Amino acid sequence: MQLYLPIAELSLNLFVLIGMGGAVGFLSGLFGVGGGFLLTPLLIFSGIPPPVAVASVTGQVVAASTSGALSYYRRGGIDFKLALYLVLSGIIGTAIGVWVFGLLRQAGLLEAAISLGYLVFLGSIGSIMLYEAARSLMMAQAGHPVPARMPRHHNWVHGLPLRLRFKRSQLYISVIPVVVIGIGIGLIGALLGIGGGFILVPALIYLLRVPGNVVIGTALLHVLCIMAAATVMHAVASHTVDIILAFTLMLGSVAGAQFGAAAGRRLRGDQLRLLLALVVLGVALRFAASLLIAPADPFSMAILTPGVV
Amino acid sequence: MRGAVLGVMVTLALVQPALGQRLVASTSDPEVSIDSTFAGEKITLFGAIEPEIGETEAPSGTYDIVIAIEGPSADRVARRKARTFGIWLNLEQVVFRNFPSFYWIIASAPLDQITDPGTIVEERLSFQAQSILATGAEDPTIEMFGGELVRLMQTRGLFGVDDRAVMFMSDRFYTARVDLPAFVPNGSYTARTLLFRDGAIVARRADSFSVRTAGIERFVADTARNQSLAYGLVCVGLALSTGWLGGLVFRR
Repeated sequence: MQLYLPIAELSLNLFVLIGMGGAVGFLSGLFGVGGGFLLTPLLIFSGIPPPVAVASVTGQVVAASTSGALSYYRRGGIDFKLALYLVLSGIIGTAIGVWVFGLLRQAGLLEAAISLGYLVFLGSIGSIMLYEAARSLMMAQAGHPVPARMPRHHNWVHGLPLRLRFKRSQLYISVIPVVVIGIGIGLIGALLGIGGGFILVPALIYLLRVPGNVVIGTALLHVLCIMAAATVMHAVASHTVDIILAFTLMLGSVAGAQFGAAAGRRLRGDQLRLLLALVVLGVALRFAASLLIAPADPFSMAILTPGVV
Repeated sequence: MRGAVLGVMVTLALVQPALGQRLVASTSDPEVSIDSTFAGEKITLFGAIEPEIGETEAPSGTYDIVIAIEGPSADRVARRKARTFGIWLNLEQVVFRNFPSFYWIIASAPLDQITDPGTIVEERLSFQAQSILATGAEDPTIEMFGGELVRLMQTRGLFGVDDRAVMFMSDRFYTARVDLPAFVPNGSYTARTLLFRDGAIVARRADSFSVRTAGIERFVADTARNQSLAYGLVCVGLALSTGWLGGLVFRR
């Protein structure tokens, strides 16, 4: 059954859209990521204009992270103080990102920057996560006791001044890395059109040593707030949010996210990280292929102004 | 003054010698509505060759019809990927201002059998870069990019030539059909109909039809454009409530 999308100005199969939303929603519930980094490329690959895909996915990510965040909130899995600091700095980062986005677009380098950005970030984070998760899994197999939380030994991040106490995370750390991470995620999110959960989760785990039982809920709340702001900004600035497309994706992803969250409870933290690492590396490989393999058609076209209506 | 000019024009029109024949035409859908299940549409254009007013019979001869259907224009960019440091990047691009987003040429016979190449170029009845792209540049790079852009439009069904789409039902009556693909752009379209007799244009007319989203889709598109802040807030509200409801429904 074909569904006409009024902002994208084309028809797509309804069940394909809900299916895509469901699959991505499952992953988002499982790993606590918004899923934008998977859904945006999928939509672009389906023929939806990239600006519409990016903007509509931000709306979908809000819905997917709401149900996920609520489910973690009920289990006390959110550090609100940490989330507040991250969101405030994230909005600053988003503003910088939107400005850089405009500069790159003027220079005609946006598409290359997006592909390279996805490749570099997904590739490096996926590799680090794969290495860490594989090591901890092998230690568990060798019979070493696996600590329930990350080792307490302090890295350089914990030596910085301006310390704050984050009770829920059982952390007493400097506010500087928190703000830097928030700005960085906001900047990358605006540039690549993603919520940044897949970067935020490992950053919170490996840099700040946020314990596993609050890291995903806090990341989901952060993604929710940033993407809600981004949806309104896209709607006002470029009129590219397709509410029908977004709603269709939401329906699939909300259902998928619940099953994902349920599945996540049955997996250990290191297993989850290993799976997420594999997914992230898979998407990175897809971008690597698009950059490295000779295209079937070296020519492409894009519309700069919408048709006169 | 204006009245005098009008009077002169009317007089001139009256003393014009009769052309012999004229075209009467219409379209099946003056307004194509795009709704939630839109998956493309076939439009039928039909018309008849009539004797000029005051005459009883149109001149006999072999008639041919060529119709050029042109959609709204937009600025388009054609890009070419090239390998740099082992990576395929869009390195070259050419922008074409006011490029038609839809251009189909339909005819009752192959164009080269209907008329001469000069008329084809003059009436923009081919996709030769110089006839449609109107960039005014002699640059071979721009011409090459223009050709590639036309090819990409053709593979999407937005550009094309069909020399069997116009059919004569009798000596004087013709019908023509044009396929609008599912992703046809919104806007107003013009159909230029040219009547050829023995290779020369003997009559012409222009009809227009519009392609518009209708119903809820139109409401959504208008709201997104005119009340963008409210639209964005509604999107976020919808997302929050969908997520919340989903959490309630699936709570176990």
